[in-house]
Amino acid sequence: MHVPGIVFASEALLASAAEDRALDQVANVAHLPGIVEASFAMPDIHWGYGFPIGGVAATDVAAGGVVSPGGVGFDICCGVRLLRSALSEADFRAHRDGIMDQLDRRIPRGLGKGAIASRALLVDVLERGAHAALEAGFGTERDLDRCEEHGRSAGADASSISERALLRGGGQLGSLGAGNHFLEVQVVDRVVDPAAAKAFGLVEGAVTVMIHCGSRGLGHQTCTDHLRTMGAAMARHGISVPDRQLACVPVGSAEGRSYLAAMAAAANFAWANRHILAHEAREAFAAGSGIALSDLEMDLVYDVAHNLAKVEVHHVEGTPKELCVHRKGATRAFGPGHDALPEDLRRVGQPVLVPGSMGTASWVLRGVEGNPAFGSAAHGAGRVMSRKQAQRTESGRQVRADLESGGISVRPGSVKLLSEEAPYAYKDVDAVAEVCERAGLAARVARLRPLGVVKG
Amino acid sequence: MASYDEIDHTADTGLTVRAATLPELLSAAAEGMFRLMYGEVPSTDRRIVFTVPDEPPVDLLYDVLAELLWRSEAEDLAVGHVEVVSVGAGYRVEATGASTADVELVGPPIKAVTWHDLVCERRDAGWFARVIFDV
Repeated sequence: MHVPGIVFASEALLASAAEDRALDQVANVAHLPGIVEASFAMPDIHWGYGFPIGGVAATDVAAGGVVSPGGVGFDICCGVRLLRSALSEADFRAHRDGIMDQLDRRIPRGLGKGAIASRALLVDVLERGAHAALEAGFGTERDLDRCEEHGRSAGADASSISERALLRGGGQLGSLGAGNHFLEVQVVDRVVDPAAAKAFGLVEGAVTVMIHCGSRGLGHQTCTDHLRTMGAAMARHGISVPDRQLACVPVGSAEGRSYLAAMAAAANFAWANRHILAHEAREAFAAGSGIALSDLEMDLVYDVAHNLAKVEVHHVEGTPKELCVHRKGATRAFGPGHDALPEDLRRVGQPVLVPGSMGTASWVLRGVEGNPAFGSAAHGAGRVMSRKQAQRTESGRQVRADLESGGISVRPGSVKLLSEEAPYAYKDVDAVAEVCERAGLAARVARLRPLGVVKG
Repeated sequence: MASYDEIDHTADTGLTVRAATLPELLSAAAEGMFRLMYGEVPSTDRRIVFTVPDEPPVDLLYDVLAELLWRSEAEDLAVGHVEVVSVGAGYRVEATGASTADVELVGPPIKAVTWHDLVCERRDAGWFARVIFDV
């Protein structure tokens, strides 16, 4: 190990992480060439592949630090987008079935294709992300300002995306996917930090919409392609790692540059994907409620990635350095004053979106000064139970009945798969948010309670 | 006789596979991978055929599964049956199944085959494999 492993957790959260192999994975990541300070893990840490889910590692670019596709994951730029609205919970309940039916109709999910089939738009999206989707008629100009990277990852090269990746996922633009991806209608249940909530546009009792998805098959194939290339190139760079999923090369190498260009293009697909889905959600709310879009005030609070590697400047032992920061199941969480934030949020800090499970709650946090993990925080509740165990515990039908008896309307892509994502399969998101705050990773702003769930 | 078992992985999923021969192991691993997603798949005339070169067993397992996963999504095939046979300096893979529109997901779609903990080796009198999938 080149650096120590540091896990931010309470005793209870650490106990669940210690039950599987997540801590071994923290140790494995500490072997990456050029890693600085520590192999970090967020409070929602759990067993992944290569990196743990919740893993953060930064490598020193100038010192031959590496980039590892395993530190990004297959779902490149998977992330979360949150919209606010002018609707109250009562307003939503009055139009609930209409809105949920419209969402059901307009949000493609499961294995199916997306809403966008144009190859020309696809190539533009790979180069320019959400900017291309905006020009094609989706979303608003303001959306771009409230998106990490302004919805466009720098250095993207559409030609670095393989034909195989285009064939696999090119037709999936504008789709949610399946697994743990979702669109959730929520209500602001509790505001903890009124000033930050006001800056984010969040009002207690108001309805929000959260969207969780990524780069679909295009991203999955891009990661697969580059892992193979890097695996073969490691010996040439004199690199060995304890897990082949941690295959890596120096950031400045030809293979490293090629991966980062392809990763950025796949990230642009993901930014655009969430941008398009948010547009469809707005249209669904308007059509389902009969309320004019302008009166719904469904503004974007923020959009954050939680599977990405980016070159950022951070201080290491007092010296500013260019670092390749990998966040695998971890959210960027920049504090007040950071120039990457939109001007109106710069005094407050970046919104950090932490989805929980579909039956409990989600949190909006904000970035704080002095974050000890390269400006990173948790990305969700974190699983505590395998999918197989979750399916054995309750049937999908029972999970749906439980949710609906709790006032949560459900539109599943597959009823059977609901049980895999049941609330009992996840850690306590309130505990994760609290540990984030106590560890100085991010501060709590508002708790969101689910009212409706659209699942893949 | 080949067999496979699902691995209880916290976030993802995986298989352990046992078979008498390497081609049987590859067939069982591939069928198991798709069984996790689709359960039983009816046979139709839809098929995928490709060959992979001979290489170390762990790389061979990875390449057969990754290629099948890519082709199944690009060519819209929910795979039900897979046959792998040794041919010259490689292996011929033939998969049959049905359109994904005609089957129901019983598990989350598999995004990728991972290298994490990947094993494919002779063990006891036969062959053993372990593979984790990202879902």
